[in-house]
Amino acid sequence: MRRVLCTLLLLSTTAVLAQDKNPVTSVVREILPRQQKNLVAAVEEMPANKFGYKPTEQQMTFGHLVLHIIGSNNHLCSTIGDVPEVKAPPLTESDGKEKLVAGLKASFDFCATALAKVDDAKLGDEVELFGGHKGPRAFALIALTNDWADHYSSAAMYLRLNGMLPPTAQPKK
Amino acid sequence: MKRFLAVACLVVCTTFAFTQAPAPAVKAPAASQGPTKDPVATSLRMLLQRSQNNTVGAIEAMPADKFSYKPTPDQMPFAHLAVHVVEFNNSFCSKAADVAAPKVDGPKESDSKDQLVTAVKASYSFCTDALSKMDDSKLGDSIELFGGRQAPRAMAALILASGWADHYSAAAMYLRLNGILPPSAQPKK
Repeated sequence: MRRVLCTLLLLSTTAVLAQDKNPVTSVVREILPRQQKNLVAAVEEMPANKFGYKPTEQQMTFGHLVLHIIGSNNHLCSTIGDVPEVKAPPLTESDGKEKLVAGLKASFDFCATALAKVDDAKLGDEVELFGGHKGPRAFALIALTNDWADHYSSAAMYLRLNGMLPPTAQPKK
Repeated sequence: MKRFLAVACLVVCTTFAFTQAPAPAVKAPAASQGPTKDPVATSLRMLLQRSQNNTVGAIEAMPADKFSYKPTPDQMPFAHLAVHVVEFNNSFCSKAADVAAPKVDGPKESDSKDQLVTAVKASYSFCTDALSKMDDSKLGDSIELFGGRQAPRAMAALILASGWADHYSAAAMYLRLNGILPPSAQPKK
């Protein structure tokens, strides 16, 4: 967990140092590739025959977690970027590792495109967040980065409980 | 975790931020109010109350004799997670809001459950006070985040919210692995 935050801190120093008139959206665009790398690597690391694994009976399967990440990315990045959601064939948690990894990668690609042109001047605009609830675009942006942290935390735990080290805990090559 | 994730992500964030009791000094934007002033600070204040309720609730829910529990040998014990929450809140609420961090002796993972719960509550109280003074005008300032590294204050604000999500996610998992439902998965009273 601390390593994830340290990674974010290190990342933050690389390209967002200059005074930026869009500090918030620039920081999110900086965070995105790192979270994409970690989340995709975590999902790729889980063996295909473990996508039905869940730590306790009441929890979701790993496959469902991946599906949830895809849905969250597509919905929130659409809202933040004010662009239509991706029209892709619906996935299910039983679709298998290959399709779910491809869907996850596509959702991050969509986020990169959707966030490319957002600027901080729009963060106070009211947007529909979910189920008719409205709030500032900044809330959706923070929810997106929160979801990445939350989902990676969960994926890492699923990996550890199956005897694997998550990507951020692996020795540097 | 299904229910927890639903809580942790947007669905419940919005439900609680916009339909239930907001954090002190926070007014959820209404549809007719137009653009939100200080949208980042406002959003953080909305998330704070929920994070506090869930994280404090999770730490209180763990039995005292399980504070040394860790899911695998490589992971931190639950008590260390509580200590980390305190240090993180004090540091990042200070940086995000540009308010001096509290001068307190940090808790230790060998402290009792009562001491750790008290320290976690105090760190959230500090965050509530600090974030009540925050506005978005300083988000572009370059600040020292960690180990001398500089970054925009916006990074501290986003890491703060991400940390809340990360920590509660971990605490909820520790609880579930001990057969305890985390606060966000408890039936509504």
